[in-house]
Amino acid sequence: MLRKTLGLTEEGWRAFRRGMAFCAIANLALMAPMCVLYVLVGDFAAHLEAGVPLPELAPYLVAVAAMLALVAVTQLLEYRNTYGPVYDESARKREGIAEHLRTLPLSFFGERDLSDLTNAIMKDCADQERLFMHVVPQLFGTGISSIVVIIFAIVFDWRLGVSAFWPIPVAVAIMAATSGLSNRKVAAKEARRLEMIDGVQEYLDCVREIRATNRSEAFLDRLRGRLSAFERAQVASELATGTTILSGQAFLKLGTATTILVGAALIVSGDVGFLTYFAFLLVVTRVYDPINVVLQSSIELMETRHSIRRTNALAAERPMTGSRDFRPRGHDVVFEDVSFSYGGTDETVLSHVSFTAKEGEVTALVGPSGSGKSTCAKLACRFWDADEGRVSVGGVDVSTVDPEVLLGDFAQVFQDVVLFDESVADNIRIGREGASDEEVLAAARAANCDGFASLLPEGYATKIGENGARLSGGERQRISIARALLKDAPIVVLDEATASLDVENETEVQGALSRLLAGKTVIVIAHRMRTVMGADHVVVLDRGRVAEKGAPADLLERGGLFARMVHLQAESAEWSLQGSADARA
Amino acid sequence: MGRKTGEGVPAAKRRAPIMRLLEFAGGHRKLTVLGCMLSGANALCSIAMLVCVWFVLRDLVAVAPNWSAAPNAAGYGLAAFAFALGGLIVYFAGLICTHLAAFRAATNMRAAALEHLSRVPLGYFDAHSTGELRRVIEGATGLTEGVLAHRIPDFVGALVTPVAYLVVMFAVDWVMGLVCLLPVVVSTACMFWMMAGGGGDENTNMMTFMKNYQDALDRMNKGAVEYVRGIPVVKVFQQTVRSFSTFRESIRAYREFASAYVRLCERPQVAQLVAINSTFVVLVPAGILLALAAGDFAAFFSDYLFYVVFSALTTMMMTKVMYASQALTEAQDAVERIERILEAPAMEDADPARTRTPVDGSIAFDHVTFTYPGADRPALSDVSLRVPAGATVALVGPSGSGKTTAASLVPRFWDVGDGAVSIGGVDVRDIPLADLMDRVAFVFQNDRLFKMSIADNIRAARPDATRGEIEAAVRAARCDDIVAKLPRGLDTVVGAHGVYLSGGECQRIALARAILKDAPIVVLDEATAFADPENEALIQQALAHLAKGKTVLMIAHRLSTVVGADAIYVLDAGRVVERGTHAELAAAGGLYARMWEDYRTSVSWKIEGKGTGHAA
Repeated sequence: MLRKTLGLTEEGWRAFRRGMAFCAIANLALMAPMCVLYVLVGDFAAHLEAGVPLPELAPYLVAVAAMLALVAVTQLLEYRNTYGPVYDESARKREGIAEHLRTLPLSFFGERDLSDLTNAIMKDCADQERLFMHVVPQLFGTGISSIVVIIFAIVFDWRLGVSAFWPIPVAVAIMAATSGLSNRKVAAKEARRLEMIDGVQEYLDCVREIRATNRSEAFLDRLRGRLSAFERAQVASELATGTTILSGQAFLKLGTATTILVGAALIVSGDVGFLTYFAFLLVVTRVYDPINVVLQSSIELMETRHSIRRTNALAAERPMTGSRDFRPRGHDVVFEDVSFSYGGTDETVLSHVSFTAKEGEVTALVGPSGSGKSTCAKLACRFWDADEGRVSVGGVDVSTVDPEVLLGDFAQVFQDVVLFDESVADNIRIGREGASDEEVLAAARAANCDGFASLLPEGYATKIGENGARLSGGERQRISIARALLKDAPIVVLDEATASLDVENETEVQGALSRLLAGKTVIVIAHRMRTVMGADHVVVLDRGRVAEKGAPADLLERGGLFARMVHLQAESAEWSLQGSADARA
Repeated sequence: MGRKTGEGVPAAKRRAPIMRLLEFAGGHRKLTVLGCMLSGANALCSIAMLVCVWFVLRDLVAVAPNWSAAPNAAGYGLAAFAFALGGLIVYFAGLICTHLAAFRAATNMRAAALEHLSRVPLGYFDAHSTGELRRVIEGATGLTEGVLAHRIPDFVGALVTPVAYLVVMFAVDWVMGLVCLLPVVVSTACMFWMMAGGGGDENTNMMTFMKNYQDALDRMNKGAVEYVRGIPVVKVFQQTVRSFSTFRESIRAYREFASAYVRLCERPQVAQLVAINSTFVVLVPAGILLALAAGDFAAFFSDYLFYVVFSALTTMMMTKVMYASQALTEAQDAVERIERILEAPAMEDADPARTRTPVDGSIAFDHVTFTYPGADRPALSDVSLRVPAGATVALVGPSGSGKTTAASLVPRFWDVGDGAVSIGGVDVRDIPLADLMDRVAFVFQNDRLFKMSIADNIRAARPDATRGEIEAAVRAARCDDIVAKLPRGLDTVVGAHGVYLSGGECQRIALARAILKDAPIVVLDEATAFADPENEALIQQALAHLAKGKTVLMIAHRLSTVVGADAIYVLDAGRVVERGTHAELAAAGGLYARMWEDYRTSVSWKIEGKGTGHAA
């Protein structure tokens, strides 16, 4: 149970228990030298009281050496069992999360800002790393050793024990009672912090627009306001938390006073001896600090529980599964009465969509933006599962197939191309693992990558920077096409915006695309009406419904939505910004 | 000519990171000092409380063995409690002071970084991702709070303790005092040992190690971003294992590094921990030896009890010193990250002595050469062009030819390396930035909207615009349909409650903004991504409205758009290779003619279905 709450792996849990035990042992070992001091003071007291001769040095030296060795060994063991395993555990956890992430459905990634997601994950791991290094083992270890000391003390003399430790439950109760206030303030602070970060991010994202509209000062003012609001919330939260902790600690210290008073009374009445009193005074000067540590660490643990909860929630995300045995008959993609809405919203994206994209034919999906074109394409490769109806490939319902196996039959060319900080050739090779250099180069050439690759310092072997930072949009898309060519899958899903590169490359890339599409089941998300005039079949979507479908020529004749879009675009294509000469004319 | 944007001034710094940190606190610095003093007072209270405990024991020893004759200890008990409570209150007050200063320092650091970023050339943001900058601003300053708010006062408290400790201890018995100091000396030595990286060798010293460690951490974080971003792609290509291996290596490299660090610190840290807990090692033998030599045993015994009680302090004190020194190393790194932002060369605003007012809206490039920082060849070389006031001039050329770069020199997103860009006959560097921005309206390829209402987004261009003017701009930019479908019309906040606009719609709102601004000069980067046919037609209508009667510099991606321009400049590899009207260039048989031919072919390209495929 606790393992789950703390979000530890099996090995981590074992290591954590060891760390905790050694921490407790090391803490108790620190008490052992106190016993030597206690015995020595006992000998001194006996000398003072009854004239017993002073003790010999030698046995004490032996005891001191033994204690020193004990402290050293236990400290070493604590160190080795807490610090070291923490990094092993966080590495395991990071790997575990990474492993888990790649089994999640693609829809999971579509719904999130990926770099934010990653940063959150990495920050959570780092927070927990620190927590398990400096807080949790100490919390439990010190907790255990403190309880042992308290029990011993009470068994030793219950009256002094009670007078020394009675404030602990009261202090805990006070802190628990006031924690509501501090929790609220902490929550308020977190809210202000998010607002601040949000403002900073917006400012950085929009810096070009802000400058162009001459709004730097206005934005900075707004940000300064948020910075100050956060600062005020921080002060409030610090005051609240500080007061909580302080009141608890103040109460703890009351124990010193009651021990002195009760002990003095008991010794006068002869109920306890000097040595017992001394022992308790020694204990009260030392025991509250570790207990304070426990109280503070538990507050810190409470604050980090959000981070652990997030990590646990991520681990609970369900991977999309299905049969790895996928034997389609042909590669027709069939939508039968498909309805779909994105998780968490009731806005219907597709309703009762039916159409067939036949093998060897080009099926174009057209429609205004937001009509559901891209969603259709993504349902075909099972980025999501349909809510109603059935999407099938070669007669097999895609929701029964393991997504990765299914994707083996798809090649996709989408608008946003993700690149890795590797060489151009390796980025293309992603299309098919193990493709030979010749095959990679052939695909690259077919996608017209030669032009820009030859300008790079090391040609195809040039590393292209984080997410291909060194490449232009057109270059990225040519790499994406090369990947698809290399993969040579029977079904091609193409976002046609890809084809709208700059003028010079457009014709060349179009040639490559034509080669890619020959003989495949092709689904095109089309933006230019003219390009789809050659398609075999057009599906016109409007607000998630099929408005029209048929051969382009028939649709044009029918004079519906498709015809209107075609005409509108024909006008746009001829449009030109007029110079002053014409303006004057 | 050839003025450069301000070189990074290597500030007269390299002072202690603490001082650099404190400077950010401004007037609140005094609070830090006060907080530290209060923390010192708290240390004195702790000592006083222990003295009370000792007094109880001393009084008892004085009457030994007749314990029942012991004087009433109630006064000491209450005094001990009073000191404990007083110490806590003083400590708390001190912490509040240092927190106030620390929070203020963090706020000022953030504000300073943001203000500075408003002055650096825009290109800075190409080299530094916004996520990375945000993390520095948010995180690094957060880290320094721990140092200013907790570690410094703790450190001061920990320094006051030994001084007071020494005074009290030597006052009671100087031999025992010296003996009890031994563990403090040993633990301090261990700390230096640890700072030197366990070996004292140059290469393994703490700062170098921390830096390498931080680098390993950065690599892992970068690896994570690349890995997660890549998951959708590698899944599509069934290569999940492969991409994972890179990330896994960075995780393991980090673990190795961290573990090496743990191993490196093992001996010094354990030695230090043992040292601060080993007062008994000297206390026991010294006690026995001194007892044997003591003339008045009762007096010696009561003094001895003092040291037994006080040995608790050594541990507390040295633990705080240890944490403080660790935190300082981290804070130094954080301060340096912020300073790296603050040291980025800022753009200089026009020198008031040279400021002149442009005579009209014409734009001119005179022999402009520009190289991106770190690039090995210029993005523009010796580019000269002229946009007469009121004319429409287009820049065309293959991707990477420098079109967008040229346009971004007009608003000084970058400053030229050589040559000059001028507006109305005045070098843009001699026009105050605010004035320059007022004269030019920009429409970018992918304009972003602010997280404000649509009305405020449009108003950003001209804060004093009336509601009526905004509505007119909305109509002129053909945005009526966008506004109509939003839940609260013009007052709908973009980016909140799931209100998002498509790329084409964003550009139309940006056009409304530019129309409202009504600046004499328009710099326009035509969108490359295809909006859907409806958006596209509306964008064109808005563009026509915006450009009417203005000086327009347009970066064209589709040649059809520029057929009617007064002049077309063709760029290739950063040079102007041709210029003329469409008719002249199309007939000239050069690059433009080829591009035009390509363009005609590409727009007639069709996706070949079965029918056409067979025919071919």
